[in-house]
Amino acid sequence: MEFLIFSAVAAIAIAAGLLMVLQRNAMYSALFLVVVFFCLAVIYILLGAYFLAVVQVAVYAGAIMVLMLFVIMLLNVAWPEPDDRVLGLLRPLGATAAVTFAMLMAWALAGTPGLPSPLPGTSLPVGAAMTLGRVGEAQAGHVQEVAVTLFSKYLLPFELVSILLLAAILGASVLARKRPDHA
Amino acid sequence: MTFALPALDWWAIAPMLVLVLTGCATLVAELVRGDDAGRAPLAWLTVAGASVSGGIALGQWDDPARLAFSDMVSSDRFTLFFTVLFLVVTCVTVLFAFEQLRREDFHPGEFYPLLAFSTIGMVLMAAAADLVITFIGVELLSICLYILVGFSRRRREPEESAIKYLLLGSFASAFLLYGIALVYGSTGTTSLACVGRALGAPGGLVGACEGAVATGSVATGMLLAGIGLLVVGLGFKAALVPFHSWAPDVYEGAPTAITAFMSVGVKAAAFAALLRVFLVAFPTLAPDWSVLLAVVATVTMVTGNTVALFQRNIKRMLGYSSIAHAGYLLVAIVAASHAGAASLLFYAVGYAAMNLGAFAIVVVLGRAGEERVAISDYAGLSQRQPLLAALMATFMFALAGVPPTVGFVGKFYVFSAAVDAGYVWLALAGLASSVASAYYYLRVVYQMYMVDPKEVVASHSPHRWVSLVATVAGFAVIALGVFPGGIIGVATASTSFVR
Amino acid sequence: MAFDFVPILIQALVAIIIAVGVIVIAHLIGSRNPTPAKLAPYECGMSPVGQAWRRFPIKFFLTAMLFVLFDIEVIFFVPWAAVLRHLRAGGSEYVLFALGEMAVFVGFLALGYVYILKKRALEWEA
Repeated sequence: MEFLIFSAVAAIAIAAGLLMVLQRNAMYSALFLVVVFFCLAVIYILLGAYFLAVVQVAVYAGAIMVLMLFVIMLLNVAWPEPDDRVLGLLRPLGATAAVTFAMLMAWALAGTPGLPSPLPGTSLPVGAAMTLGRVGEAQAGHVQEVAVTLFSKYLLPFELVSILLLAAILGASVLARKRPDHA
Repeated sequence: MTFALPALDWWAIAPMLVLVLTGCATLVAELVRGDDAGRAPLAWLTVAGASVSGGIALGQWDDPARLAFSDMVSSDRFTLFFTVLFLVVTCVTVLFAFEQLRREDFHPGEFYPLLAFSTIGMVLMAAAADLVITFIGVELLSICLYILVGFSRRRREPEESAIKYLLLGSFASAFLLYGIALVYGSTGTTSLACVGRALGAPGGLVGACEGAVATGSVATGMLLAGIGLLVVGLGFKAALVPFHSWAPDVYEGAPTAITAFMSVGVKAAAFAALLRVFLVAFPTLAPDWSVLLAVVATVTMVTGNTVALFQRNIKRMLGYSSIAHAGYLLVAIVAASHAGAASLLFYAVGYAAMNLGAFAIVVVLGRAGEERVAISDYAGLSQRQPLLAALMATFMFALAGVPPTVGFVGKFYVFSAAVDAGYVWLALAGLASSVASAYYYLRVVYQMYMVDPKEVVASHSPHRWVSLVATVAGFAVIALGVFPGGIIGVATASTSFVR
Repeated sequence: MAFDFVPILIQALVAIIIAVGVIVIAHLIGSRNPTPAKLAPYECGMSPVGQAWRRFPIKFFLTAMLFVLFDIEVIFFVPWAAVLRHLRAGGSEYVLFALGEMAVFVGFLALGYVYILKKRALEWEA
């Protein structure tokens, strides 16, 4: 059952990812990206990483998508006219790089001795279980488990993140401020 | 599910805490005053905070080395060494910025909190005992820098360079994070010492390694892929070739104060993180990664020095020169030995002195709107400003590695560490490229002493503080070149965790 | 367990079916009699001016960026709230510890919030 859901969602994610890259209209790309985000959230749930799934939907599919749509509108790139001379060279290069990287990762993951399956009684492919395998192993995806680790062991990183956010708030308002000669 | 109250070893992170307070205090001061008029209090507050922080760090020198906050940061001499170095760089940057931004008539108060926060990021990168902290340090530093790089009112270039840095930097962060994830996936831990132990490295400061795989049962393929991605992520911050393409544009477009900060502080932070990660977590894999890094170091040295030959803008020239110096620093890591690590620390100090000095001269001679940064603007400087010309000549000789300056001694230590580690060809490549580098450094000296001035320039405002920095740096460049023993001793003591 | 999420899956499916179904049914049974006025986009009864694609003021972007940052802040409340109740069992020092942690975290962001208020980053006409 879980394998079926995983396969379906993974297939949708890959298809949506491809469609996102191949779209000419940036707005459609962004909408396909939302699909990818939701598929990832489902995969996180399958892996037992529930908190991450919530973050994926709330922050990525929510806030970050809003930001992306605003950027697309801000830049006003409705009808881009790609320079075929440049793209003609870049496309095969990019494709080669992507395929090489995928093969390299596949090789790296395939050479990995089987890790314990993240959830007892499930049969996820090793590659999928890999990224979060260790989290799932301890059932750490439950929000309380995340909380216990986050607020005891990862106390210092947690507080540092607030400084990071403060710096980002400063930066955002400095960047968006009107400058005398740009007004 | 047990929630254990973690031990709070505040003293171990006291220098960072002071910096946090400094950043917040400058932010509050900016909010309270809120006008563009008086930035002097903010500048002095930052310098005062950095001094207190540095004083605490010096006072902790004899404390026992330990891990703090659930093994997240290490409080040892390595951390303290780099903390003091970063704080000096930060103070110098404040002095530069104060002169320069006042001249530019664009002086937002946010500059100072952002600078303080980015210094925290650098300290974290050096102190990290866990890859999570390394990543947060890199991000804190980067986010502040994306803003600081664009700090200018007049021109479009700063904004362009800020955007370039932001886009490429985000990719680099993603690579770094992916690398961390793969290392975690293959070893079951993000703690550097625990990764090292899982790979069979001899002990040291190791915390609790719950969840880590047993020694010898690490998935090697995935781990090597992770290491490769870590090199990309950190190599971007250190501006190693081929991840350097942002550096010249950003160095040219950013305010000179920030260029100095990046080329010295950020680079040192990236190398501190590289050293921690590679020599604490992966020392047993040195045969695998040192060849890769040796190739990167060679390409970096050759590219940086070759392209620098063709630059007309002094900031751009120093940008490519700093790429070449990143190559020299990487040679020290390739050696993967205690002597190599110590030579990296020594070189970082020497490079800070000579590069900050050179940038001080650029700040003094520069004018509003980033004019007068062409190398030909230095023509005949010896007739108009003999002292400045002599200092600049000192820094150029030092950067070229001419004895008796610190540049020579630093290169000597780095390359001899490489030779001891069996990388004779790498040392030879470094020597050859640094000989070539003399051409473009000495061209500045030639312009200053052999060419007549193009124009009569009105006298400058005195720039007391920046001139003081240049003088102190010039003194340090010679003193460390003649008597390197003290700093070498400190650097050796700071890297005792490397075997 | 992952099966706790089956209701969400069902809800998502129902939402998709209704959305797609309405469009399909409208296409099948609706009568079509287009006139230029009917094909024009509806803009509150006004006749449309220009295109919807135009450059937006950077204020939108700033607001969105600040929203993302505070959204990330809020997401950290979720695990904190989930665990705080259970910490009471351990004794008051655990609760105080967790409260103090969150106070520091929120404190930094409150400083940022005061900053954007004071710098009038949230005001449209600033």
